[in-house]
Amino acid sequence: MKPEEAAQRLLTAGLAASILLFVVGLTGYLAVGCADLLGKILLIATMVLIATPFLMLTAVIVTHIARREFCNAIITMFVFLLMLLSLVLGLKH
Amino acid sequence: MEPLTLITIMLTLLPIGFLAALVGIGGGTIVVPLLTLVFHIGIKESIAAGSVTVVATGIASASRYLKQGLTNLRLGIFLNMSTVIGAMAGALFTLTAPPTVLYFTMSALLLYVGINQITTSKAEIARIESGSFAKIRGDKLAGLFKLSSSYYDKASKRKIAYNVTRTPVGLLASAFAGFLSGMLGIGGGVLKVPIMNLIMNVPMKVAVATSKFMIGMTAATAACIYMEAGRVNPFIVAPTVLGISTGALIGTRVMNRIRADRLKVIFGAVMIYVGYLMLARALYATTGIELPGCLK
Repeated sequence: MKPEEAAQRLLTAGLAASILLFVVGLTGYLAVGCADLLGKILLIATMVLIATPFLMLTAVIVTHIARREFCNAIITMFVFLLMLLSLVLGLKH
Repeated sequence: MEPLTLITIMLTLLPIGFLAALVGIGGGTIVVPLLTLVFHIGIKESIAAGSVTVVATGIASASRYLKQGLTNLRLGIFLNMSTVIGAMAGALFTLTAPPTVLYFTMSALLLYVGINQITTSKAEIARIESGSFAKIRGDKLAGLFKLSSSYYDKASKRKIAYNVTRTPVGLLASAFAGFLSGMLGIGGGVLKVPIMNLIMNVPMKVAVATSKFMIGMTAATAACIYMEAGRVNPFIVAPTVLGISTGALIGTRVMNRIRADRLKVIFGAVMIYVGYLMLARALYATTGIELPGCLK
């Protein structure tokens, strides 16, 4: 599988899952108004959305390695680590 | 929050998602002022919601553009290497220096590049028709990382090959764009697109698609931090994400059908608008003069 294909599939799946949860949560809130439970569903939807780019990068690394594109795999790993590092620095700050 | 307000937010953000997908920006620079000025949502909650919506437009657009063969994934990840480093440095620099001077600089830069994009829009078409994107030789770094590629342009009904060049300059410029983004808290699409298009010989449509892909990645980090800090209000995020994603998905269907020169004019106009917002903010901070649409 090409890295582009893996990235596209993961992004589509992540977006679809989060949108589904957003729709369920928001429709439920507008219809029933149970803010506590539906707020949690919306929060999970947000988490799924935010986690998607990280998962996508992992998939791209795996496909690059499988295709023996080691230069691109190293660069992608480096970007992934940088994102994690900025996340850690941001959380500490 | 009132159900009517939630629906209004969703519908208002739909055209912004459309525009963001069309020109390769995250949309945060438009969403945040809109949420604060029009819907009277607190600035901290608006910024947090803005960062999540940038992730949403990034993912929605990137998934479609990857399928259309427009996104240059290798180039996006390669440039993100220096962008993320620049953004980290910029975010740290913000702690020690007031960004007012940078707002003035950034606004001047955006206004200049915005006007430049509009005035050179016809040249893009001429380059596509003459095949000059493929005639320029790619550099060694671009060859090593397989950055050069091609795409099918639906508007001109032809396959456009392009060779990525001046990669080291592009890397440095991306680091600078990241630095400004980190300092000013913006996604940086307004800088990434011209860097790829004007410096690195990347066609406008590929630059837009690749910029969307890059923005989605970097914004996820900021969104995580806001989430951990408890600033993400899911009842504000839900309608913004649904509205902006729907708009972005429609935008991705339209972008490749638009003539490249028109796309550059739209992009230039957006840059001039964002430049104006920056100028308004800097003027307010230094002189107290409040221009229309100013985000205090």
